[in-house]
Amino acid sequence: MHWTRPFDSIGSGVLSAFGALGVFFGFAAESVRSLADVGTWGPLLVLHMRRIGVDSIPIALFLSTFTGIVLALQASYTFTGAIPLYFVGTLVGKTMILELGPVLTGLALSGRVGANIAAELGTMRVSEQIDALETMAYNPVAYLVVPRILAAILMFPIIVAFGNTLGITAGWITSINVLDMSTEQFVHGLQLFYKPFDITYSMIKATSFGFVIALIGCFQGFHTQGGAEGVGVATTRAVVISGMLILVLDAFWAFTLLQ
Amino acid sequence: MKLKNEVLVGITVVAGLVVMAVGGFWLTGRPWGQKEAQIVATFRAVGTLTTGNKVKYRGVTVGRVEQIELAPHGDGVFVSMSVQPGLHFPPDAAVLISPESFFGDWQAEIVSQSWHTDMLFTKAQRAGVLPGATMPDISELTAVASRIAGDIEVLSDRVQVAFTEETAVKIRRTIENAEAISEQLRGFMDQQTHTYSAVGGNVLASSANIRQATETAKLTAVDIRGAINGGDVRQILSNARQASENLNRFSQQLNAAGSGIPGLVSKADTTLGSIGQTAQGVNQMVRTLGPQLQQLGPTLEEAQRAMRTLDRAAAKIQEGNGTLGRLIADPALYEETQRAVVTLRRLLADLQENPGKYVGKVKLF
Repeated sequence: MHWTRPFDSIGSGVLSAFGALGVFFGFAAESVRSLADVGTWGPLLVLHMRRIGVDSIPIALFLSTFTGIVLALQASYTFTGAIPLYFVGTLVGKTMILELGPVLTGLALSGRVGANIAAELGTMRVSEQIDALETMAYNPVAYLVVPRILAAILMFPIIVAFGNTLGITAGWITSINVLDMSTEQFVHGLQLFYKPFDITYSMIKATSFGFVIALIGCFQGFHTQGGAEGVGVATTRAVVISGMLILVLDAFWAFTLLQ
Repeated sequence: MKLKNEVLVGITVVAGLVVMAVGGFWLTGRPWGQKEAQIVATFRAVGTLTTGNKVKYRGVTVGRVEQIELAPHGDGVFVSMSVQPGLHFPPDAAVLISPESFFGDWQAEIVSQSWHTDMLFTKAQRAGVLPGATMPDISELTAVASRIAGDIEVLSDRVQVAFTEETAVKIRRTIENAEAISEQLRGFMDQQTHTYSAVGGNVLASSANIRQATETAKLTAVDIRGAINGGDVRQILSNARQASENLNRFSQQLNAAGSGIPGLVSKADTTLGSIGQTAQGVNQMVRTLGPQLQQLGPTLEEAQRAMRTLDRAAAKIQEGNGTLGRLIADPALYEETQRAVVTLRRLLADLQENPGKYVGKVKLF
């Protein structure tokens, strides 16, 4: 083995990583530039808002409902005999708004929305539909990417708001029916440490998660190579990378906004 | 009916925005559709009070903390609160920040300063700002309580070490001894009370006896004066002087004894009793002496007669009558008698030195 081989491998890896990053940021920059082509993406925005947002609400509500129930039960299990039960309301409200509402919704939708976008665009790539758009002088980014990203950015906070509300409601119903708490106790705990910034924080996270999920899904689908296998790989990568970035962003916002 | 995409999206977005707005406002606990009044209070520090904490008045939630900002020069904190309109606060209203519960939630309570006279409220630095004070954090109180509990534990351990069974027995004995001493003191006090009562009675009796003795002495003095008028004044005066000296010494002894009386209270009873008895004896003696002094008159008259007889005998002797008179008046007889006496002395001396010269064998039987 030649002594330069390891360095060659390292250098190739670094260049590849930076090359991928460059391609990704170039794609993101192209998406931003394509915002100016409103005539292309504008008519498609509502359609994607329906598909990404409205159609995702049931899964988000289902997830949030059971999350709220579990939170209330676990809180009462933890607080029994030591902390007043009205803190169940505090824990359910704070946890749903600040953490589990946006993050669980984001993770769930990264599978549904991110995978859907990656598969759809990947299929278009491998079937050369995107190439056809480029041939017809259509801006494929403005046509395929921008409306999806904007739809995700706009609809994710709405989905998370519904999810938070239903999760807290589920926790409240669980508390008054299972934990022998009164509505007044739950609401007292819910309002005890509430700050308006909590909602803002939750919406910031939801918006960023929507942006990341849509962007990663579009990027992976847009750069799919090969046939059906490539579509599968792109879809898998979109879901995995989106999930990882959601958690990274979650920590980033906590460090940035809660310190 | 199948809704168009636009309608569905519109409904969803509007509903989501309404949920966020209404839910967020409801969670703040603010009253709906009501304008709120703003109050500002100043504090030295606000503990862990945060925006959104409750504002209470007489225990009822009337608002919430809106803003917390440092004073311009950093020498205090201004807290802005929104409260229900139309509330009438006391003229000396102030804001007291305190923990609402043991779990870290704080509150701002509108109070009258007269309700908390032990609190030091920070004076308002500008008009329209209420004075404020901050209660210590419960964690601080629990930390202090923890230290106190630790000290009590140490103290308890030390007491446990020091307070053995032997100590308990000693303490019990000490208590019993104290009880006995108390009983003795009580008995002593009773005894002293009786003693002082007896002393008082004796003093009264002595006083009466002395008064009687004085009266008797007065009568006796009258008698003595009468006797003196008819008797030997010089002798009586001499006796009286002697008696006076005796009385003076007795008085000095009494004074000396009297100086120790305060320290010898316990003996005062006996002394006064003796004085009383002495006074009674003196009284009896004076009574006895009275008739004898009355009998002294004839005795003195007989003594005067004897003196006069002696005077006459002396006059005869001086005149040379009788043996003594001749011895005194005739020098020759005196010389002759003197020589006879000298001769007699010589004879007696010789007789003592040489008894056999003058006395032969003596036989009694």
